[in-house]
Amino acid sequence: MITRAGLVLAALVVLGTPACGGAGEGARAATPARVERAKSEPARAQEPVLVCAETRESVPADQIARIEIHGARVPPELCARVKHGIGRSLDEQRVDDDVRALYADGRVEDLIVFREEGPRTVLVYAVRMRPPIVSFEIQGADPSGALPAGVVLERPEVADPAIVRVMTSDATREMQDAGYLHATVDFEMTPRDGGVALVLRAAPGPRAIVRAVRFEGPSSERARELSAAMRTAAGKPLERPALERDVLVLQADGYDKGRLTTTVAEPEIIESDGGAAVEIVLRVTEGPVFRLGKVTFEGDLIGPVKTYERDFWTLKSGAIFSRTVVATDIERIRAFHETRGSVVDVNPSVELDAARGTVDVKVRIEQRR
Amino acid sequence: MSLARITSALVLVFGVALSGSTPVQAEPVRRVVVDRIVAVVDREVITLVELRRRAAPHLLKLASLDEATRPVAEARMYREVMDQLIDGRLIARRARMASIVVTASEIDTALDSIAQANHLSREALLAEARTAGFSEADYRDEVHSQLLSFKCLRVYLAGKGKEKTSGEMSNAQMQEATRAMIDEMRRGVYVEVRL
Repeated sequence: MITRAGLVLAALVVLGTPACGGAGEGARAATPARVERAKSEPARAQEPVLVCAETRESVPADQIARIEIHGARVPPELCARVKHGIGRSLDEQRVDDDVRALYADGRVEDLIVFREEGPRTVLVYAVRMRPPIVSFEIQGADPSGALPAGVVLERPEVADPAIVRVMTSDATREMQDAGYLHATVDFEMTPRDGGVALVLRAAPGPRAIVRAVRFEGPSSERARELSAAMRTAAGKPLERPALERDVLVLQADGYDKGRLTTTVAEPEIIESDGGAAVEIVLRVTEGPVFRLGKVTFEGDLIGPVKTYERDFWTLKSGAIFSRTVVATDIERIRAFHETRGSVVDVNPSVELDAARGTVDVKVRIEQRR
Repeated sequence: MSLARITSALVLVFGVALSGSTPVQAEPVRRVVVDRIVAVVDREVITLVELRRRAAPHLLKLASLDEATRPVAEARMYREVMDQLIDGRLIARRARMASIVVTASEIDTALDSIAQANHLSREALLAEARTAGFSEADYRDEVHSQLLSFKCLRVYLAGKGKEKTSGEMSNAQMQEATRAMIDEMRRGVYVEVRL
C-alpha cells in the first residue's frame, strides 16, 4: 500500500514546491576510487574519421547528409550501433538512444554528438575509446583471498572503472564476510604508456574473533541446545554467511519443535578491540508449542484422501508439529504423483489456533501446466 | 546560467577533451552540441538530452527570476536535477535486483489519490502538470519514480528490522530514511559526474 502521506509528497514535489527538493547537496562525484584521466591532447589536424552513412544525393540543409564517428582506435563495427538515419531531420531521441548504445559497447569511455552545419549537415559522434590496462598491481594484504593474483577482469582490454568498482566492492564484501569487518578495497587508475595502470589497494584491518555468543529469550538450557546447532562459536572468527545460516537454523529448530511463532531478530554484533573481537547477541522469542490439528488435502488428487492420509502423511493429529516431518511428507506426495506420470506442486498452508495450541494444515496439490 | 550557456560551457569543457578528435574542415562549419554523457552510474549513462528534458519544467519556473539571481538558481537546479537522476538510477537498479516493479494501474491509482488530495479531477491534475511543464508521460514517469522509491524504501526498512514502516513516518523521517538508503546504494556502485 502506498501511503497517503507519500502521495501528498508526490503531489507537492510536482505541483507546488521548489523544483528539486530533497535530493541532496548538489551533484556528487561520489565514487571513492580515484580515476585519473589522460590529459587532453592538443587539437590535431587529422584524427581518424569513420563514415557510417552518407548520401551523395542532394538533401535539404536541415537534413542529415552524412554520419561520422571521430576518434582514435574506433573499431568499424561501432557504426552498427548508430541507428540514426541519413536523409532525415535530426531526431534527438534517436541520437540519445545511439549515445546509450555506443556506451553500452563497453569500449567507449566518453562521447559527444555534434551537428555540423555547413553546405551539408553532418552528424558527428566524437568518441574517446577506453585505454587498455597496461599494468596491474595489488597493494596491501589480502588474507581472505578475496583478490586472487589473477583477478579476472571482464574485459581486460579496456579500463572501465565501473567494472573495477564492482570487483572491488565484491572483494570488500567478501573480506567483511570473512570477519574483516572494517576491510576496504579501493582502486586507482593512472595514465601510463598509452593505457592505464590499475592498482588495487586492500586494507583488511583486524579479523574479528567471536568472544561470546549470548542468547536473550530462551532458558539457559535451551540456549545451550541452540548454541550446539550453530556454526558461529566463541573463539572462532566471525563469518557473516555462517551467522546468517545460524539464524535460519535457530528459526527452523523452533518450527521443528512445534514453536511456530518463533522469531529470531537480526543478530547484534558488538565490537571491541577495534574490531578484533565481537560479542554476538541473539534475541529469540520461541512462543508456545503447537500440535497438529486437522489435515486436509485438496486440488488435483489422484487417489482417495485416505490414501494420502495413510500412506504419505506421517505426522498425525495431536503430534507436535515439525516442519522437517511435514517437508518429508510433502516430498513423498510429490514422488507418488511422479510415479503416476504427473508433476505437481504441493503447497501447504497453516492456520494456528492459539487458544487450543493447534495448527491445521491444508495441503493443496496442483498439476503443473 | 541558461541552458544555452550551460551547453556552451559543456562544449568548452568537453570540447577540450574531444575536439581534437575532429577533422579540421576547409569551410567554416557551425557545430552544435546535440547530446553527450553527463554522468555514469554503474554502467549506465545519463545524457545531456535527458538532463535537459528533466530540467525543462524547473527552468520554466526560474524564468521569472531577475538576471542577477537566475544564473545561480539555474546552476543549482541543474545540480539538483542531476542528483535526482543519479538517485533514480540507483533506485531503479536496486528495484531490478529485488524484482520490485510499479504497474500502470498503480500509477493510475496514485494519480487519482494525488488528484483527490489536491481536490482535483485526474484530468485537472494532468492539466496542472502540463502548465508546470510536464507532459502526461513525464508526469507518469515522475510518479513511477516516486512509487518505486517508496517500494524500495519499504523493503529497505523491513531489511533493517525497523519497527516504523514507511506508512507511519513523517515526511522528514521518510526523506532521511530515503537518503540513508540511497547513500547505502551508492557505496557499491561506480558514480561519475561529468558536468
